[in-house]
Amino acid sequence: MDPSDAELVERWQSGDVQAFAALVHRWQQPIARFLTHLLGRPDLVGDLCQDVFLRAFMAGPRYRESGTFSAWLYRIALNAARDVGRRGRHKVVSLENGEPVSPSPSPESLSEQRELTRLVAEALAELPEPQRLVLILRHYEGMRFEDIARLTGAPASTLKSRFAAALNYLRVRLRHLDPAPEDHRP
Amino acid sequence: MNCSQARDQLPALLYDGLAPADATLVQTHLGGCPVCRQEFAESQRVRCALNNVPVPPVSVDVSRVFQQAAALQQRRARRWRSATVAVCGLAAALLLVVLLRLEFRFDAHQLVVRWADSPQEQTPIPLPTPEPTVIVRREVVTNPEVEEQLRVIRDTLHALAGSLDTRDAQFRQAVGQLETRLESLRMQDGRRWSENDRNFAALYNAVFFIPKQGVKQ
Repeated sequence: MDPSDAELVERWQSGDVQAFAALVHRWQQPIARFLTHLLGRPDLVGDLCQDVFLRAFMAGPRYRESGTFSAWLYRIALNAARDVGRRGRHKVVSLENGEPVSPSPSPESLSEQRELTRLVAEALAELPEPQRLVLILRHYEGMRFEDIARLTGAPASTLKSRFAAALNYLRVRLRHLDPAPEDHRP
Repeated sequence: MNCSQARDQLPALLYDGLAPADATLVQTHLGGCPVCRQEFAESQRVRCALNNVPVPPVSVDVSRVFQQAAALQQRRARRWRSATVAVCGLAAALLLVVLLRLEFRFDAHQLVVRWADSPQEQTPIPLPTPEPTVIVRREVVTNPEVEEQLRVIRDTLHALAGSLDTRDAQFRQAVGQLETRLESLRMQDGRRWSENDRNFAALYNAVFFIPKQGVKQ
């Protein structure tokens, strides 16, 4: 049975760097996913992930098990993404060579998916940052509104309103999309 | 349930955030409302579309994280050391200023540094008070005997002074005479020498020089 985040953090704070490596391995892809959708810049995600875990390592001695490790890590990732946003306006860069989500796609569906990807990424980038953040954390990371509230400092009711507004905007924005045959939610 | 209430619950229904009873109510409304049903279907499509955004695979280099962390800690340690040295230097300078009671000021475009206590203001030296003038009144006391003695002494002194003057005059006169006598002797002596010279010259000529007619002997 894999050790929990709390156990790994305790071992890491005791000096076990392998425990930190295990935490990195466990959370690097979710953090990458979070950063990709938040910034809309897949080209920056690799370096930004490296930066996020460096910040986490430096802040490790100060971590206290008051919440969850994931919320703490997402907080660091959010700050890192905001620093990037402050340094320069980011524009959405579509991942043209990204892996298609559906298995063994045909060329037509491949181009359709790429177009869809571009449209969705653009629509996400058009959202205000607070709405985009709650949508990403709720949809991609599956966090509850209470956990998101602890992370962002905003009340859960406010977050629910933001989430509904974001979903409504995307619904109107992507209204012309054809209905997808399957749900490819990971 | 009306459409407004149902639309408010659609995101929660979509993401399984409704209690079973509430979910049933919303589903019942959707069954009878095509507009809300259309909106729910569009929301479902958006949810699927969101899942289609690819995420680049990422592999964090943990060893590089450790190296960067070590470098950052070294930099922080250096900054703390520099800050500590600077603070200690400042504290030492302040302590020096306090102990030596240094005073800095600009005076006539020059930086003046003074240490130790400021020169105390000297109390002005009081001028000596003039002594009260004492008027001495001399009273001449006349005494005949003393007067007589004083007169005798005075006369004696005058006589002695006169005698000295006389002798001094005589002495000068004698000296003058001697000088005269010496001068005359000098002149006589001079004349004699000249005469002697002439005599010798004549004798020499007489003895050693023969007139031109004869042979020199």
